Amino acid sequence: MPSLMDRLNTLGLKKGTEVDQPKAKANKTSMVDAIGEGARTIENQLGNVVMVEKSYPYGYMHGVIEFEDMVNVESIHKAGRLNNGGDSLKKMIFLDTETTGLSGGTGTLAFLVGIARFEDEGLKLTQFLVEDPSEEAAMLLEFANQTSDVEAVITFNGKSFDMPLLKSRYVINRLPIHFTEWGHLDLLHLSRRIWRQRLASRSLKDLEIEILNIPRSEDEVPGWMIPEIYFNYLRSGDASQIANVVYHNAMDIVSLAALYFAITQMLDKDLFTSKLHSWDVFAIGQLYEVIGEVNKSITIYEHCLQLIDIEQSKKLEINSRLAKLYKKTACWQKAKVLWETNGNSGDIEACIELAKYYEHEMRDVPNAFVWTHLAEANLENSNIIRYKKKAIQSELKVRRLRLEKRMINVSEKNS
Amino acid sequence: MNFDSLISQLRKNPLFRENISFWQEQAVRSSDYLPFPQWLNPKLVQSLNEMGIKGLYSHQSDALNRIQNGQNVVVTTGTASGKSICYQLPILNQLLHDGQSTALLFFPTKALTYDQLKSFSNIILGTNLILDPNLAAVYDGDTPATQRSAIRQHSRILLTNPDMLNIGILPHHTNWAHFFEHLRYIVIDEIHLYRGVFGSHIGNLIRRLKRVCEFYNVTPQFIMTSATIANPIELAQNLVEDNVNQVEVDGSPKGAKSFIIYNPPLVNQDLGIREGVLATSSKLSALILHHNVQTLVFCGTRRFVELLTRELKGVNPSLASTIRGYRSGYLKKDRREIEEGLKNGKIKLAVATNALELGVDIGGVDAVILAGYPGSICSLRQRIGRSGRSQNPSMSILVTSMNPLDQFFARNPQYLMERPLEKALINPNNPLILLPHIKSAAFELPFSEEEQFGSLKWEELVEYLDYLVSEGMLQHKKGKYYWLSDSYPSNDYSLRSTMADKVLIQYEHNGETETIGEVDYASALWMVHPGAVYLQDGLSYNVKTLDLEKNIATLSDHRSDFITEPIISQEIEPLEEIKQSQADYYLLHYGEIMVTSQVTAYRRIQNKSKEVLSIDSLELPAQKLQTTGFWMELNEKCVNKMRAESLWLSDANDYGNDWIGITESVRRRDHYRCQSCGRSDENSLLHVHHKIPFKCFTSIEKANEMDNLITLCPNCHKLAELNIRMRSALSGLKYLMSNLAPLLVLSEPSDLGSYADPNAKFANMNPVILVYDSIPAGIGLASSLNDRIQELLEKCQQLVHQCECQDGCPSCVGPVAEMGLGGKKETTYLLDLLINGGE
Repeated sequence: MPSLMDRLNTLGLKKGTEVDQPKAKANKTSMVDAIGEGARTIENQLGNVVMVEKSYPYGYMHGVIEFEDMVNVESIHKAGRLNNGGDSLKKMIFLDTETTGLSGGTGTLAFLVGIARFEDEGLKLTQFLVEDPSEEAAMLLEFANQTSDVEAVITFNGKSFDMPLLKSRYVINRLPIHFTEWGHLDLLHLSRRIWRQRLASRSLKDLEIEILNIPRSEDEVPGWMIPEIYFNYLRSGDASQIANVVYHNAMDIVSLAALYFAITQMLDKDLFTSKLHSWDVFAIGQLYEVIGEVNKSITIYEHCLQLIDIEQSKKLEINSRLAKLYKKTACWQKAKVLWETNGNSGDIEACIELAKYYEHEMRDVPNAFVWTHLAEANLENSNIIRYKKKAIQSELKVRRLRLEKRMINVSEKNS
Repeated sequence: MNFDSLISQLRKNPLFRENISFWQEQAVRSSDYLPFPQWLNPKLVQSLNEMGIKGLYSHQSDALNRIQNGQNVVVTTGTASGKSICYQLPILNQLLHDGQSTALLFFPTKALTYDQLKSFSNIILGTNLILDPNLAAVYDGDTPATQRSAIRQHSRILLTNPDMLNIGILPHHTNWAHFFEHLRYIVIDEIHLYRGVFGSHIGNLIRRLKRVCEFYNVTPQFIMTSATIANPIELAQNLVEDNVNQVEVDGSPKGAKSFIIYNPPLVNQDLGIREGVLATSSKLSALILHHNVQTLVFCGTRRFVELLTRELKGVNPSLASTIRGYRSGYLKKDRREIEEGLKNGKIKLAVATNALELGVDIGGVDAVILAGYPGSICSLRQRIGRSGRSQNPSMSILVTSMNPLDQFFARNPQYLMERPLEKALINPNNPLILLPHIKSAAFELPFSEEEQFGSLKWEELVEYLDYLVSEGMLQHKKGKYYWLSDSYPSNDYSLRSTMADKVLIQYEHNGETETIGEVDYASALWMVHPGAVYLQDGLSYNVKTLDLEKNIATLSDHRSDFITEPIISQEIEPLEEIKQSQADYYLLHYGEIMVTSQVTAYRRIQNKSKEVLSIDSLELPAQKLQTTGFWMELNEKCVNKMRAESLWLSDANDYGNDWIGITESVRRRDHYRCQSCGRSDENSLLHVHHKIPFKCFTSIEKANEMDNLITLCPNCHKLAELNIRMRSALSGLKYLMSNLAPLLVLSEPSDLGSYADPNAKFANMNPVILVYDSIPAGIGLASSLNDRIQELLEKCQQLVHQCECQDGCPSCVGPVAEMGLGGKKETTYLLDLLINGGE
């Protein structure tokens, strides 16, 4: 009887890319030995888990960021829309997983779950590793045991990747999911909002370079290699490369914590004396606007306009946002000044705002007419999308006709 | 509408009447109506009452009671008999009962899913109980990403298709945990479509589905529907690998219905050539159109649809706006418009492909024309089922083509009326289909030692698992096989093909390219080699190129009057004989075989005169196919019988005036010696034999050229003639068997290959006919035919006896048998011998 492989080949199955099958090595290095310091195997009722621990005391500098004991986290949680579990930093964990693939689905497993948490002495990093896929349940149980008092989790892209994946692993292993009630702060989304305009890439790796200023050591392995490293380890029994994965994961988590600090500081510190990039200051102003802290964002926008390194186009954008807030707080005079600046540079919206302001607030029909007219002229020359243009056009026309009518009425009355 | 005058026109006008080979009036049937069962939720009953449904047909009631008793069922009643009710009510009843239960329904096409959703929603609305908009939802490739999460969380009735189940649902089953934990019913609609390769995939998909259900500790019931086939229970049981009960007796009412077989007139009796299906269908359509009777014309291909639509519009300009084509490839909006037009009567005539065969809601039409036999009885019945609005009279006309199968039915219409013989077969254990599903299953949940995959035993399963371990996709640790690969296996294959390559057939016309079909790689080499004339639906194309890198054959219109015939060198090697049986005149073998074939050249043949215009050589790769097949080995007794039979002496031909002189010169050239055995005879008793039979030539001079003549002794002459005759008989029988096989097994003609050899090396030099599955490793077709060989031979005999042609035609033993001889007589004799010992 020919082997199945031969049979499949004669049936015309084209062979896929064959994997290099590493020979099982004679001198196998276990995970604990390969990782070294901080690593040990612990046992629970479901099996064995490799656990790695490391501490980063307060005062530790990760790049330019110093881990501090006392921070005001209220703003970042508001800005990141963390709706529950954010009361105590000590009940929050930073989390990142390493998995056997990125394609998702039930065939992908997390063989390393790393968490970090602020304790009395500083940040404590704990990594749970699956030495062999049959020990996955033990690892998941251990993670559950050690995070039973946690109230919220902070991740980078964990909303769409790490947490759904973990949830799936608990289902597959028939274990209760203990984290459904956790709050979740995903710094990927927050980072995008802050650095969308200034940085071309907001990946954690690029933020490390641009914001945290911390290089990775030669132990680093790129993320895409990680599944293959784990598969090779399983085939060969040699865990020496796993140490690099552990380093990679540790760096991801500590950088995540540092990024959390960086953003917290940006939101919390005195922006007027800080050496922040002017675009970042503006972005923070917008964050405050989003979370409804109008006065704070007004102060920041006003400050931004004073910064010398801000470009003209940015200034118009700030004017526009600031004017909106002035309008909201009924500071009409201040708003009017900004609208006039923008309106005279061709900003249609500002013209319309002025038209409204003169018509409804000042009962000044002629001026309202002038600005409506200017809005129409500006619109004519602008290159915004046709359907939008049309909508604004018809809206302006209604306004102009109404104003014309009122002007005639007034002149009739006068005569 | 003038239905009666149309009927009398068809009955009386000799132009039509003479071609009608069958006319059956199906009697009116009243409904068998029963009250709703006691246990049905009153809210549901109320909702149905509001919709005007006051009770159930007997088959619906039967199905409901069986399902309530926990049985798996397959409902096989006719088109428009209300099969959907059979699963809609149990699902809703259960849901009303516990508020939790879920149901998974899969349909072969997307259009059906949306029709079903509408139908469900109508009943749900009336129950005024369930308010969640996602309660019943379609989940397929078109479902917006923003709705998917809500559907996963909240839907209780999920309508989808097999492809989505394969790619989107099963590999993400943890996201559906809540749905699976309460899964009560799995509905599989139109299971007769799940046959062959597709069906074998579905069988494995269901194995995976059941495996996931087991993980969530549920054992859902299966509710299936099927068109009428020979083996609905067997197919259903093969698909779900569990006991299934059939609900068969149709209790729905039927109006009066005429069924007509229209056999287009012969234009050449000798060659058996008939008027084309397209032209005939066009004539009939025009006739019906002028009687203002709403009609649906079914064609085999999209191209045919376009041609016929164009022609009908041209011939009937005043009605052009009421004539429409309908096929896949049309915009959704246009299709909806046509469906509406058919319902409200604005469209008088639609020309459609099988896109309208399945349940798309168009109401009913008054007449259906089938331009050619659609390939299977169940498909024919579904198409006919489109005729008949409520209980009004209606008619269906089958226009038969020259194909043997069409002609078989033209002469034996009773087979269309009785319970069909055709079986739907699947082989989920075909390694090329099984392997990818084992990968997906391992991805979904790790395999444990001693586990089974459906009915696949651990001993067989473990071979696959070990293979995947060696390929680095699985890891075997502590009694389990874990998926450890950074890939998503369900993305790597399609449910509609094997892993073997396909070649697309593309037609280029006015700078546009249309894919008109596909063939498997191996068949492409002989069907669409460069220079080949390729026939499809009565139209001929010329193959410009065959790109075996990209797997595309490019075709253009073929205008000359010649056809081509590939010259294939084929070798058969039996690998393992699985079964053997014996009859008086033959030995029947079944087993695994290796077919090695190479297309070495092709002949260009003048269509009318059959003259060979040229032989061009080809350089194409040899192709190995490992598959299953049966071969019929004729025994010595059979050969002797044929040799002894006087019938074998050919009628005296008129060899021309010079014949005596010519024979003398040939004998002289050959030194008065038999050129086969060397026997010499001065007394001129030696025969002169035509190497290529005399009949194959149109000119006497050509036939009598010295190169074509040879001196043989009487004995050797007889052998030589026998060989030719044996070849003719084998070739004729081979043609009949492969063309009539679809009577017994639901299949496409390209699903089977055949081979004939008067001196087969693998069968002790005995004559052999072999039929095999052309899908690698086989899908069960040859196996089923092997078991029913007598039945198949009888059908062949029936057809060849009934054919009016002279000496073989495309409708019986084939257009040109070996060496240009018709071979009808030889085939008939052989068949009579095989079936009843020549009595």
